[in-house]
Amino acid sequence: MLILNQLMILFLFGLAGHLLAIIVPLPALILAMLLLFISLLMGWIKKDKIEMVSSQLMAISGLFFIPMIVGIIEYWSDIRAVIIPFLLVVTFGTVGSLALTALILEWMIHRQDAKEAREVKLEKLERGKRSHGE
Amino acid sequence: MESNITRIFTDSMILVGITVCSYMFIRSIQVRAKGLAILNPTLWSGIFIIGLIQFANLDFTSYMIANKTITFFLAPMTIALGFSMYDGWHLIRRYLKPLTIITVVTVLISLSLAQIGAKLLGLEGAIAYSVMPKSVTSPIGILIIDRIGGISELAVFGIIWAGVVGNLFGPIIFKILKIKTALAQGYSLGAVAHVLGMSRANEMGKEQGAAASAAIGFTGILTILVIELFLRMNIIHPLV
Repeated sequence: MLILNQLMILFLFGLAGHLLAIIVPLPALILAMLLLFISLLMGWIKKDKIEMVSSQLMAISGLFFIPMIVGIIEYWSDIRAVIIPFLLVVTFGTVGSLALTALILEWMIHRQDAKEAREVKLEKLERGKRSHGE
Repeated sequence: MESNITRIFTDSMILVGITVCSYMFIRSIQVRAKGLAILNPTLWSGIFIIGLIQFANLDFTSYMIANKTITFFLAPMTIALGFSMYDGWHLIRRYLKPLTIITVVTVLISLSLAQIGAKLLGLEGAIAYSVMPKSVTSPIGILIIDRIGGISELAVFGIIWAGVVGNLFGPIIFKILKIKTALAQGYSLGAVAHVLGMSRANEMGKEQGAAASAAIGFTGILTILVIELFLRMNIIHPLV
């Protein structure tokens, strides 16, 4: 019952996504996902109403792609010659973007932390001056 | 006698059972090997079943029809990503500005690295397009392939491979580049290696995991938007 209940909420959001997709030119599933996010954020739906099924689905998400991998057989003759370069491109692309993303983000986080620390210091200094003047 | 046994393996429950059992079996091996990324259960179950079809006369068409039941769950799973985004929200709220910038930057980096690599190694047409969604989570990747053209099965293979690479090399890259904040580690893993990156991030710590799950949703959505924009601006020409 619990599983079905929570799954039903996901389906309802799916329906809402499809309805919204009539006017918004984005895939219905993405709209459903955004709607769920916003509803949780706004408190329209409680976290525990959806938590179990969502986290379970994420935990076994790998299972759902197996038939897609098997489906590669149909294209095997087309891709056999390019599979090695294909995997190489994916490998280097992933390592490259992971390194760049982590580096830039780390730098930006440190910068914001430093800025905030400076602002806190300035505030303290100003407060100190004011109390001194009085 | 032999035909009776063959008949068992055209039954749809058995065919779905093969998928589930091989996934659970390889996963339990992976857990015993302390989450070694190369033992990815999706990848090896797929290869195992391909082996059954090629060498043990398992019928491809009936396997695919029966396993639509499994593929169906991709849709509710994609919607459930909204929950993951919410789960990581409390952590990323403080750094909203750098994270917004990095999401745009990482999407552009991923897409351009994929295209540059494809050009360098001489991949063309549908194959080159199948590299593009490599860093987003598979259900979103399939939506992108539907839009721009390409081979969705190959794209899923690439997506999983990107996840395995990120999962394997992530900690090493962080060590070499001295990435120390939990947010940078988690967010970059989720942004580049989607669900597989998230599982590695969860092993590194709770904060990393939450950042990664938020990153999956946000980069996924932004990738779709950027591709839609590129299509409108005629930078990418759809094959379909």
